[in-house]
Amino acid sequence: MSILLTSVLLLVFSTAAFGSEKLKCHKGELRTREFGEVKILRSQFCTDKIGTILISEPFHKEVALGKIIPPSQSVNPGWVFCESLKGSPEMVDILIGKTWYELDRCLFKDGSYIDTGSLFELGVQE
Amino acid sequence: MSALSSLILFFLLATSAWAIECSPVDLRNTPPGRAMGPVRNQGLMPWCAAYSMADMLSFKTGECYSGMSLGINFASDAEGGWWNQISNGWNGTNMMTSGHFYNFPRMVRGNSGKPICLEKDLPSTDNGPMRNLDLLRRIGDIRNQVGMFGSCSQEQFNSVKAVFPNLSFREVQLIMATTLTPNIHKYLMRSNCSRNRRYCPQVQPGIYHEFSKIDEQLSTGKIAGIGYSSSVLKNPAPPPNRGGHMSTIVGRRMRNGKCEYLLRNSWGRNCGGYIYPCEEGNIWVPKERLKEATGDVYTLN
Repeated sequence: MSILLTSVLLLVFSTAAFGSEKLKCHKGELRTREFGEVKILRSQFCTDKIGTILISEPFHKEVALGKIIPPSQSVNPGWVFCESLKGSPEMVDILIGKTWYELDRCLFKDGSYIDTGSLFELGVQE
Repeated sequence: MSALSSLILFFLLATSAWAIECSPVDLRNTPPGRAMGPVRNQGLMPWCAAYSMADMLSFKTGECYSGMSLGINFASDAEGGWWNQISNGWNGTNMMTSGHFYNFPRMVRGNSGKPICLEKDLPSTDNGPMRNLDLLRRIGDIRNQVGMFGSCSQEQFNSVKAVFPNLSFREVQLIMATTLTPNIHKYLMRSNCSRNRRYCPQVQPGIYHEFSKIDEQLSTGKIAGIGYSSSVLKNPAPPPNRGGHMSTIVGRRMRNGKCEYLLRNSWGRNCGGYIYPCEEGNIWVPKERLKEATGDVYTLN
């Protein structure tokens, strides 16, 4: 009976893990544009399989955790939040497999970065 | 018996009307929908109306147009000249209102029939270490510094190239030497896209106060623009107003007994912070929440 219960629980947990967002962390390539010049950088980061999340390794979430997000209506609120934290928002391309996926990131002075959507999730709305 | 038949008939009619009202539509992957490309990222550019118009125009024509190009045309001409705004104490606020959602009708009229760029020639995404808005302002300054007979430095050329990537040093030099400052952005843009130049079709804006116009558009395979409060996307509290931002509605579905609309935003492909299901920058917003946040519905005719 206890073996059966354990099996059922294991099945439930493995299904839940399968359904959740999975990030893959590795040393990969990012492409940036600086005054029209394209630069390719190798960096350690975590991303999902379609390039909608980007978090450098390491990234210290305390930089944004619980901080107030300034109000904004039209412009990208993640970019506004990034600038309020003294970060620099910019566009990057992430290489996943053989495809480049465009995304943005908030780059901090220590070289760490995070996509502005994930950054927004760390803050608190007024 | 006849009362029972009437009741059944009434039930059937009511059910079919309800089904039509929220029948599933997803125009992202139809041939004209694919032309819109991935969700754009306006970054700190306050031109949501230009980005939405680019989506609607791309959908209408099947080619991906640059929101940046539509914004430049509008700001250069329809607003009485870009440089006039800057010289009259420009601090970003004027450009804010240029791209504001309520300017969508003027944005459409200001671009109708004018030369415009494809997205691949003039990317709409905000730029690297310097913001596009600052760069555009700086380009006006450069034109004034260079004058009619001067020459650009490499650094000045780099600022121009950051916004207009197809231009050579020689082309920039020539345009700087032959164009007056109020026209500089417009002519740089046109030259930047000369190899793939397109003309905006003769289009007219439609403005509606009825939310049901969205359903009418979707039911005929068309997308619609909305002026709405973006707080509805990230905050469960009632929206403070019915304006401030503009996006397009590209789909509809019924989920858990509730009707949801697919809103294509212009804040990039990431989904962080949205309180509703999100797919690469497209958000499924419940009808009742979208309705309370929406002021106007816009179409491109």
